[in-house]
Amino acid sequence: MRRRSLKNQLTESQVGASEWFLPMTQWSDVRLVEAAQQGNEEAFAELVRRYQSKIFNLALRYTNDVESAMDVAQDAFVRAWQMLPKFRGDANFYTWLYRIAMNLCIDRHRRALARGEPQKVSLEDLVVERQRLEDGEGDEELWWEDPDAGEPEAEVLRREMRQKVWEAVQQLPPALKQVILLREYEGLSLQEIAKIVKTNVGTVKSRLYQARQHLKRLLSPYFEEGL
Amino acid sequence: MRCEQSRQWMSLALDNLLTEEEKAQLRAHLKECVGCRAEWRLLRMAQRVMATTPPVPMPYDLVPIVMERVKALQRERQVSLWRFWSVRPWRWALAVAMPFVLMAAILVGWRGWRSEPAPSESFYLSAHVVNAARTTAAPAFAPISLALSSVQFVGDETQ
Repeated sequence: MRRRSLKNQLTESQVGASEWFLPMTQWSDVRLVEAAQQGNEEAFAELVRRYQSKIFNLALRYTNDVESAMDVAQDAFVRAWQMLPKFRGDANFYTWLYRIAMNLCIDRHRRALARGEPQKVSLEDLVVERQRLEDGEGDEELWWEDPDAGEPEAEVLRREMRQKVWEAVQQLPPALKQVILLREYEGLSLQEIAKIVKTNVGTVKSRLYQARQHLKRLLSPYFEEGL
Repeated sequence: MRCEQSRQWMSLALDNLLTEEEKAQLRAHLKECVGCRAEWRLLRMAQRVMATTPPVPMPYDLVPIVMERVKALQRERQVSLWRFWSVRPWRWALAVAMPFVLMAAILVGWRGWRSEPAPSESFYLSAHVVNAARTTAAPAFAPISLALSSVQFVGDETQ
């Protein structure tokens, strides 16, 4: 594999020279990518270990099918290995990896549509084993807060809402589904999303607005006050 | 503020892109408009739901599978390189001969540079003059003495 240097991250790698003495699990992404570009397969295996869950979940939220998501995640990492010599370090590794995974999801979706396969919408096939705590972060102003946050029945309502929101997201057009997944589920910034979908921040904002309007129309029958 | 603008600002507010003044304007509109307030609650709830949806655990570890495919790709690459050389044997001959050809060229060029150059006078003087210069006591005048020796003086024909 040809040796390529990460020009933009050179300072970081020089500063991180002491990483050589640390176990690979503690190396930065920059260091791991450099080593992988020089043919170090262990370094690439560490990158796979770090990001396999994120890529799997991203693919799952797009395809709504566990097997397809595993295939996409596998293909994404193999393609990343093949394209590693071309990675110049002008974006974060995980942003670049997300872009590969997203393109594979879109290709798979197009092939499925061309074959006339029915699109899955429900969460029923998926197993959720771990519950995350409701995050208490964010704006403390009264107008932001959910008034039901402290009630025990809220958890049941939230699960139901999760199902409904999931189903609504699956019904979004592909371009809007992309940005909603990356923004709301993955928590990426608008600039990172723009790099992944190869557009500008203005377009990302516009798509988010359209996606939220779609979600509003799809979810309003389930919201008690109605719209 | 009109509801259409309020909807656009709601989307920006969800991404924390409003200034404090804009937030205040939006808040004031939401206090007055029931429809927009309900829409805001719905969007905010959907955002919190999406942000707190737990990741689904993977059914199995991808690392061994991915690395096996990576190793297979490396092996394929090596096999294709071997095929590249084996299908056309002359490539091997060229690859082996090339260093020797280069070395020979360098040696010949180096020896040529190191050999003694001929005296500059030989470019300009004939063999007779050079010979004369070697035998006379004043080599610098060899061309003149040779030229004079060929001229017939009066009285020479009688000898």
